[in-house]
Amino acid sequence: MTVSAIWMSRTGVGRPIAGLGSGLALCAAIMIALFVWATRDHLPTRGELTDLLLRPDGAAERVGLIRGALRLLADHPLAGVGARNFSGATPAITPDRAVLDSVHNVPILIGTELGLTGLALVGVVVAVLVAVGRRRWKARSPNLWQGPVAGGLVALTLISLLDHYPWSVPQGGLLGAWLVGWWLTDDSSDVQQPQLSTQPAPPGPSATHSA
Amino acid sequence: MVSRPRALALSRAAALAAIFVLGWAGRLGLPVLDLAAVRFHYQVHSIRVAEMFAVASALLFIRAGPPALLRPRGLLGAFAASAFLLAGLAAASSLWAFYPGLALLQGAHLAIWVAFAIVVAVVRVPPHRMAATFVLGLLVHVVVGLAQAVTQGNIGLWWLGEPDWSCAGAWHTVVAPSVAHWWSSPGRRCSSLCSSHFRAPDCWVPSLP
Repeated sequence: MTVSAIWMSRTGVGRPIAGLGSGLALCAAIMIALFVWATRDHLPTRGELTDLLLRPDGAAERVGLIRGALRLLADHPLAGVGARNFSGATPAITPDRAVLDSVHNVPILIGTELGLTGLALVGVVVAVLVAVGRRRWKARSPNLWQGPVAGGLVALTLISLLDHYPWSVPQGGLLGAWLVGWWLTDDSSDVQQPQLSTQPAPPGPSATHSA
Repeated sequence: MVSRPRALALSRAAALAAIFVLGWAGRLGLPVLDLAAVRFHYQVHSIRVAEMFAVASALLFIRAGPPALLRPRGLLGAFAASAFLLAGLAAASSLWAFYPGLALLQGAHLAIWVAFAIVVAVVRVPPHRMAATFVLGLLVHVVVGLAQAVTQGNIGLWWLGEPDWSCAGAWHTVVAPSVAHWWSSPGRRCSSLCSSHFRAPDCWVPSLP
């Protein structure tokens, strides 16, 4: 919401909405802090909620997984161990051939699974998104929807640094795809936008369409 | 220009449907791979409801006949080329992966995601409609979560992917169903919910030198 507010504050129409969004973001942060404080005595000592919010081991285990991932990347730098094969490859580096969960960092996970080749392709995708954003930032685009989409993309990027769901779970991947597609939507100069034809389509099998 | 406006309208509707069910865990298993011996696969061998709608949206868009999908240019073209190459690399990695099936399936998932991104970029669903649809989908999650909290149990939406909470503590009921479902897998749903999601109970604690 902070990124959205910053983005929207660059246009006159968006400033009031940005102010409202900033207030909501502050309220949300306060509410989360109050929720954790108020329910601290009722939370289980070992559970997913406390793992995510309160347990220091969560950070330590993430660091351990990252070290393992970097070792796999060093062993397979060019093409990685294969997509979705991170866990299957971890017995090679664990002392007792244990199987580990995916490293909780999407860029490192992609690097481990698809090597530097995969990372380079991801770099091109990111560069495209940044280039689109840079162009719109300079143009002070009046499209108010770009603010929330920019905020969503930044939020998903931050999540990707702490978990692997945008790569390993379809819900996360599709959410990213939707935001990316929306982000690229307004590049009208790059796309021949579909328009409805005034003539009804002829019946029968698909025909060859002209540009 | 499109030669089949109805297909374009249906493509937009399918894209909206995909956005509405984006977070749902409902899925259809693909009987192409036995992952009984594979851990942490996160149901890669299944297709989610949202992915089905995404595929339908892409196919209908192709059916509609606009040339933009086949000839994206500029930044969209760079995105399409690099993203589809990434999907191809993921699928090709089956040649050297320990579990080739996992790599192939991940490549297929990636191809669906990339196709959906391109369709969203070119089909031009009104932004306010996409946002409203997404929020409505989230509200369904909220209603389900509140119902679970009130009843302290399942509400019978198995076909939407609602997980089995019978072995979980009370606080688990307020977690979004699909999120919790990510952490589970057939055969060890309860044990995974009741332990750290980083590893199985008998797993190694990362302490690499």
